[in-house]
Order: sequence, then structure tokens, then C-alpha cells
Amino acid sequence: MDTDALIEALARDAKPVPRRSFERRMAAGLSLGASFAFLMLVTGLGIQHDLLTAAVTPGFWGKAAYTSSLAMIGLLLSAQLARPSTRRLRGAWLVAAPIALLAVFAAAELAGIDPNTRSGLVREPLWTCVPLILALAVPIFIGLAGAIRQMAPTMLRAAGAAAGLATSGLAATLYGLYCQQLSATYILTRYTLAIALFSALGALIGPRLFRW
Amino acid sequence: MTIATQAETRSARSRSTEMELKSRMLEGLDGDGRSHAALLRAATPLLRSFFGRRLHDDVSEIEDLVQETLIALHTRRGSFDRERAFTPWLFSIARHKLVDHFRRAVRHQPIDGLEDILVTEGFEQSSNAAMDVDRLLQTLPAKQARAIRETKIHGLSVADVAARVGISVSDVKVSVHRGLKALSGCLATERCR
Repeated sequence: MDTDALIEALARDAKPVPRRSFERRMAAGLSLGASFAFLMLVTGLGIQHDLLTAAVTPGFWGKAAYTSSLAMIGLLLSAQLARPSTRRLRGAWLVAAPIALLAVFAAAELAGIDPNTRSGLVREPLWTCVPLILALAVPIFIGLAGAIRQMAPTMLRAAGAAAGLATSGLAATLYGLYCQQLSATYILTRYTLAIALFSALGALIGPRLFRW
Repeated sequence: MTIATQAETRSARSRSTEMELKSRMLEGLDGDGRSHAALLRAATPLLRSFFGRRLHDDVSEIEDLVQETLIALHTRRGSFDRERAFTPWLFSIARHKLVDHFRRAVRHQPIDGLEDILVTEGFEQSSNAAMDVDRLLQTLPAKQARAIRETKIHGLSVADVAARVGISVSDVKVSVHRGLKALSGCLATERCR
């Protein structure tokens, strides 16, 4: 096809693009997926019945702050990576901040446990909550990835990892409404493991998923 | 570095091109088909020379890539950030299409007679040379290495590199100069690692 003819054809198809359409599409994909995940949570697992009393404890909010800050950082990176750019990624190091902060709390918690009895230590196996967080992350990832696919990512692996971080962070926040564990050590190991696994999965499928 | 100082140091010509292209883009995004056509027409020679510098002989391949990039520019214009410059966005898309093209070309390379093709085209020497250059560039600070790679190897103009990296033209020139000086220094003494 002749390039001039192509240009004419494309120009006839120049529908207006609403302002903030980028942000709207990302938000729409994310909230659609998150609503579905929330539905899965309520029908499949149920919200912890003493949520109202739990909601006044600092541990509950600390847990929510940890997972949602990881989700926010993932979203910040996803928004950068959904656009074509050769600029260096900004803010990737932020991921370390919440993890390091929680590690401090976990260390303090472990120091306070009597080493002889080891009472207070959560001894549930590592894989108890990880699969549930991963399952909740899937619909949110589908929503966000659908939005990113319509954009123009050029660093596909990084975009997949960032989308995985954003969506599993959000999934872990939702899961926190169900799981009553507030131990910093428990959250540092289980929740972080789930989020890391899902981000790695995102990095793995990113190049295929976002190809254009 | 602020946008203002970047614009000041950028050459007057590329600045007016950028302003012209960006205003056409914004009008096109608001639904003006004639501005959109003008944008695509203005982008075409830029893309031809971008791909032409990299795929020296094959005219039909160059035109295919130009068209693919124009289509991507059109279908993915929702990813353009109205607050940012247009040209870096355009060349990021072009570069993405070029990388994709090379990837496909490698995959579809016929196996029969491949050895002859590689030998006759001096593949071994040139790829060894490319690896040597890469190794040398790795000894430099990232900014200098990038400035040299983009201007001297990929053949971009200093103004294009400045726009793409988001630093001033003089900064690019200084980086190239310092980097080359450091390399010639270490090559002379054979202490490049």
C-alpha cells in the first residue's frame, strides 16, 4: 500500500482521544479486576467476622499500609512502563523501602519472643496464604494488563513485573481483610513471597503478553 | 535540568520541528483529521531517514517499517503524554519497531547457505568488532557510553540524542568528547579494564 494512501486512511479515522484517557483506562482495568477479586474474596473466603474490632488495631493498618504501598509503587512503575520511553525508570528503588521497614518490625518481634518456649511464633507453613493471594491477583492482573496492552510499552519484561507487583500488592491488601494474622514476621515472609512470585510471573509472561 | 534550558540549547531548527509536530499531535488528539494527516505526513521523512540510516539498502523494508510505525503512531496515540515532547515518543516507537524487525529477521534467516552469507558479509569481523566496542564502552560511565553509542555507532544527531536522553546538546557533546578521550587514553596505555 502506498504511504500517502495509508496516511489518508488513518487521518479519516482520527477520532478524538479524551484527555486523561491513559489514566482512565488504567484505572478502569484495575478497578474492574479488583472488584472481581473482592467478589471472589467475599464469596469464597469471607471477610474476617471481627473486622470492625480489628480495624482499630495498629497492626491491621500496618499490614494494609505495607501491601498497599507495594501496590502503589507497582502502579507508579506500570504507568511509566506502559508508555514508550528510553528514559531511565524512576522510583524502582522505592520497592525496597516498605520491605526494609517491615523487616525492622519483624526483627523487633523476633527479639521479643522467648527463645526457650518460642511461644508467639507463628508456625503455619509458608504456603498457607501464598496461593490465595496469587489467586486473588489473577483477575486484577488481567484487568491492568488489558489496559497496558492498549498502550505502547517498550520494556516488556519490566512492564510485566511492574504490573505483577501492582496487582499482587492490591490482592494482598484485599487478602488482609480475610487473614487475621498480624505478626510482622508472618507478613514479611508470606505476603512478600506471594508478591515476589507474582511479580516474577509478570516478568516471565510480559514479553509475550505485551508484544506489539 | 528544566525543559526551558533544554529548549534553549537545542538547535533552533529541531525546536521548531518539535513544536510544530507537537501542536499537530495535540490537535489530532482533539479529533482534527487534517492536523492528524499533516502530522503523519511530517513524520514520514523523519522515519524514512531514521530507518534509512539503519537499513542502508533495502528500500521496500524501510517503507514497510515507516508504514508500520505510522500505524502504531495512530493506533497507540492514547499513550502519548500531552505534557511531554513529541519527538522522543515518536522515535521510541520507531526504535521499538526496528528492534522487532531485527528480531523477526533473525528468526526467519534461512539455514541453507547461512555460513556463506555470514562469511561473505564479514559477519565475524564485524561482530567481533562490535563486541570489542561494547566491552570498551562498558568501562566508561553510563552517560558517556550512551552518548558515544547513539551518536557514533547508531548515527543519531547530537540534537536527537539530547532530546531522547533529556539532557542538553552541550552535555551530549561534552560526554562524547570526554568518553573518546578516556578511551584513547586507556587504549594507548593498554589498561582498559
